[in-house]
Amino acid sequence: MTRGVAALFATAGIAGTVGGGPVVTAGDGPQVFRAAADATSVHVVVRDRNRPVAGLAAEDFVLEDNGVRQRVEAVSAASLPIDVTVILDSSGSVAGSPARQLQRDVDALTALLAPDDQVRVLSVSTTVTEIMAMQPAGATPSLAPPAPGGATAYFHALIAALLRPATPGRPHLIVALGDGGDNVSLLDARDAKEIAQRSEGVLQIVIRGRPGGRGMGWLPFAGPGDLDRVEDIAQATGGRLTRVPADRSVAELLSRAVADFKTGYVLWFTPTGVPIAGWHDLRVRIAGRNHTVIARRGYFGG
Amino acid sequence: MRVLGAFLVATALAPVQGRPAEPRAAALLRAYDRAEFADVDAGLAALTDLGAFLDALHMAAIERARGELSTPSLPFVERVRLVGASLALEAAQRRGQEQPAAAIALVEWGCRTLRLSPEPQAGELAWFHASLALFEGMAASSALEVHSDHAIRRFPNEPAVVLARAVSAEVWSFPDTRSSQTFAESEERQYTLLVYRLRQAQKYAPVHAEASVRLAYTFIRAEKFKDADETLRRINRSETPARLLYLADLFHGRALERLGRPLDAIAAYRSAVAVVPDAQTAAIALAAALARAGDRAEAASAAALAVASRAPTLAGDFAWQDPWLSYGQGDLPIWPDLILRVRDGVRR
Repeated sequence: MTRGVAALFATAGIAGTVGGGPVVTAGDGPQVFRAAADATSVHVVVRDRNRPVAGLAAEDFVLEDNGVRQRVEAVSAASLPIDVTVILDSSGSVAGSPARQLQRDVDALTALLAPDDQVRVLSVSTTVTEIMAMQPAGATPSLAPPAPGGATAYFHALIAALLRPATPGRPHLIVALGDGGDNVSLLDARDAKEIAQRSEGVLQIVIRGRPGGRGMGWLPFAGPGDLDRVEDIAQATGGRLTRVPADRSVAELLSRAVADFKTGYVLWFTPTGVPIAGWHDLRVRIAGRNHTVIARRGYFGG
Repeated sequence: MRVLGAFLVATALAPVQGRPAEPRAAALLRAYDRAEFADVDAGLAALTDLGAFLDALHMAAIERARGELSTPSLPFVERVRLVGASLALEAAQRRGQEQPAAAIALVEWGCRTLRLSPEPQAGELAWFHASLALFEGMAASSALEVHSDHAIRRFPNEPAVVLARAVSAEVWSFPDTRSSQTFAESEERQYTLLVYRLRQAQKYAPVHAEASVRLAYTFIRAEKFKDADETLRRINRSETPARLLYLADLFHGRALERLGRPLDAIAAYRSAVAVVPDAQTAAIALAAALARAGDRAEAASAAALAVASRAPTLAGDFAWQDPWLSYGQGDLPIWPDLILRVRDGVRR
């Protein structure tokens, strides 16, 4: 199933016009997409203890949607072009020479990606700004200067990134790097989680060090609140929250996030035997094995 | 001499002897008195040490009161007080971010000086309004509470001062922790005081809308969404400035979402975006509400538009573009207008 991926996605543009994800139809001949308005994709990472498990095929996966087993198609994420959205905290992590450091970090990221992968960068400070629109990793990245500002609208950045629709055939990885602070977003962890439950992206949150000190002037919030609730946002998408020391390099963290993502699989299925509208609980496991499967917890249909 | 003596007594707490005096204080005081504000602006732009300036200003004010006449008249001394307090206020505003303690000391010196006059003098209300706005913007909660108490004693029925008294309680209540416990439960006394003061302010027509917006947000923080909804529905939109209308719509959207009325919430957010199109908070809130309502395409489009790269601007400009980002700064966003009124008061 993971071989001949280029042929699989030859007609991805057609599937993408329908609004739902694509479905890969298996068979003896060349495999192609067929349009499916209600198809759903799920990115999963499979681990045996702490090592990624490679070489799995569709029949190895058992996926239940609201308790009803579904027929899935599966491909390795490594064989697909991916879209990466990076959220960088420009209020703290790139203090000093923001433009140059940002450019170096993004250069390091694009060097990791295949030419047909794409990358986008959001800068977060008092406001959120797209400083690099989604563009092929093979192109020369050009960054707009980050918006200066002392506060951090972290939840607003997460929501903006999660709301980007996934392109059929292109799994979407969101890596949010910050110091764990949010002192100005009116929307909160609850809002971000609700959006995460509706997003097709996989959110990896990396918290470097501790939030910076509070400056002079009014700030509405002391921080993001309970970090467990922040972690819930990532877990709702099949991602996780990781804490690392402040001196870990952004380039290294981005590299790890992309590498982990590419060890996974993308499962497609058209929900069958369950009502389309409303919340769908998802459970994914590997038939006959005791592997750990990390995947989104569910999705909203309809 | 009694008048001059009172001036000295009033300022006895403020100066610290022995520091080098800034020589420009006397000249600035003279320029301010003559309403030569271009010279005042140039001099204030060169200020470096607010503490030293306070000492120098204090001495310059005394010298000015003493030097004009051998026995200064009360009106003359009162004018020197107003001019000195106004200059102190402008100096505090120029360097308040970098030297907050000295800035507060300057304003407090001005306050003590003005309050030596038994009755408020012409121009004093404008001074109090501007100085309260400065403390609000600095989120100097302790200083603001004391200062607003002084202001309300001078002007007990002045709408802007009554509202500032409420804003003082609000500034004190920030920041929120985003904990599961509501504001009303975790800070019950502060919540009760804040609601009381905002309801007092609501009684004054000129500040009714702003008091209502702030009361509604207080209810939202306390998770009393129905109260927030009712409060916001009573605002007279035709008489409310755009900045407040934006906040009213933004908060209304939040309350309506929590009340389980997603379509009404979307309408409120759309209205906020229409009032201040460049404000990001309402745009993100609208995008999120659309996504929750199932309109993923428009949600994605709204989110993309909200974060689209704009021409680089100063950090402060963002706050002015999005009224939410300056919500807790009270009247500081209208500082240019307030300081003009102070100068007009001196000019007369």
